[in-house]
Amino acid sequence: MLAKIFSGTVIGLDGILIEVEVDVASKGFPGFTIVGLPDKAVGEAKERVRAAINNASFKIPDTRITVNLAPADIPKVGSAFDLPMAVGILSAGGIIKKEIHDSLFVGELSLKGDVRRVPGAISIALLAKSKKIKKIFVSRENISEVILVDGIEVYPVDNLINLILHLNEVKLISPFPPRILSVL
Amino acid sequence: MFEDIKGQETAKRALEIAAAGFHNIILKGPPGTGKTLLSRAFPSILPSMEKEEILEVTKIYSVAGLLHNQSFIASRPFRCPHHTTSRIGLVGGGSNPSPGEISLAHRGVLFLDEIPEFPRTTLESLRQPLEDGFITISRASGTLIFPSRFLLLAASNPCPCGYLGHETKPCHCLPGTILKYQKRLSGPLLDRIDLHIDVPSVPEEKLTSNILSESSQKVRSRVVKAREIQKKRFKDLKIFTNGEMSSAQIKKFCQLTPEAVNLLKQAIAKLSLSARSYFKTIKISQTIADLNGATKIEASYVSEALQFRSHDE
Repeated sequence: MLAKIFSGTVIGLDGILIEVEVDVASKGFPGFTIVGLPDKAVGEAKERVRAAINNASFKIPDTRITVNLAPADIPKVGSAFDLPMAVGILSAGGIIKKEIHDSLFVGELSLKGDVRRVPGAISIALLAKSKKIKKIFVSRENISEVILVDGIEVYPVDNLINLILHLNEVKLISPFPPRILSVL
Repeated sequence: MFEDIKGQETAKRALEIAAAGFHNIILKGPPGTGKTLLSRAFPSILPSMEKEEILEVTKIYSVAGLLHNQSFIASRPFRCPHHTTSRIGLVGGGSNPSPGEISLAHRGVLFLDEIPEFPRTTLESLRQPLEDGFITISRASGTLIFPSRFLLLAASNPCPCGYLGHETKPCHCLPGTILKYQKRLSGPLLDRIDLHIDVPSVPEEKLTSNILSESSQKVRSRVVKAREIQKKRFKDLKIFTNGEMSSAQIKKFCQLTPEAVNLLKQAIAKLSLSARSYFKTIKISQTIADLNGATKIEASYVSEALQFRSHDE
């Protein structure tokens, strides 16, 4: 199965849209490959994503997993792709039932499955707004800066389980209202 | 806070002008006279940020990963990098380019304490961003632009031992060492600094007196008023303050009374002011006029401005 999840990275001060494509093959040796110019931190995401999915009491598919970070010619740095990769794997593996086209995910995962803050979240939120993506899912630690951007639904994510329950419409997370700077 | 600092009225006045017109400023004086203290109190007289400015600055801090638990940056940044800071650390860059101190000081203050101790190449890299308000970083992987519209606030000793020109303590430096020390700051860089202030030692009667100095809040309210006037003046332009005016804009906006023109003419002849100094003097005079709520630049404003350019002599 194939899944495509939107995420973003920051170059300079501006966000750039990254498509995280995840393929879970129906056969082949178990393995986990990330392509698309990942740096060391993105490469190590393998271990975090694997542990986070297992510890969130989901099962990582025991076949060949390929993750492509497109566009493939932009170097990807940092740990912000942990969350979209995990969502992609669970989506391609059939654990997330619905297709996700209108959302953007950024966040670092802990081995337990908690979602941690990433730098540049506000730039990525501005990018999502300009690309007309309706929803953005970020760590609760990032929420206070992201809600400065209006015109986009901001969802705080505490851990992977809550997110999956939300995406499967079992237990919904309510979006944060934007903060209007003029009332400061 | 200004009210906690005894004496140094000239320096305080200069800082007020710097804050009002966004002029770069350098404080020179022997150790222990309050240069650092004055500088640290400087943010307390700065006007608060506009909504767009808050977003701009918050974005920079978010990308640099320095937002920590704040939701946004509400007060103007005050950055004081140590003189061992590398060039990349100051102007930004690196293999995964990130903003440097000058970008982190965007819309705020970059305070360089003991500025002669900074390596020359590091200081020279400030020249272009000081002028442009942004820095272009070109690397093999691409070209990036970081905003860097900051106010440069520098402090320095007059000589290596620190006591050149001190009233009571003798200076132990050789003339050659003094010259070498002062030459560490290049002409072009000093040229970009509008206000040059001497911070002398405080006389003992002032130090021990109980007279309260003016509070930061009072000074700040004057600064805010002056900024309002400037905002109206530059309404349709890309600049906000007098410090950013080009010479063409100076000709367009600054009106001098005949007496003020006369005084300037005399000053050019007597002090042999360069063309650039001439324009800087008018810029500072304009800020003083704004602080006084005057529409025209009067002779007294020009004479006040001229004393801040003492190094031109």
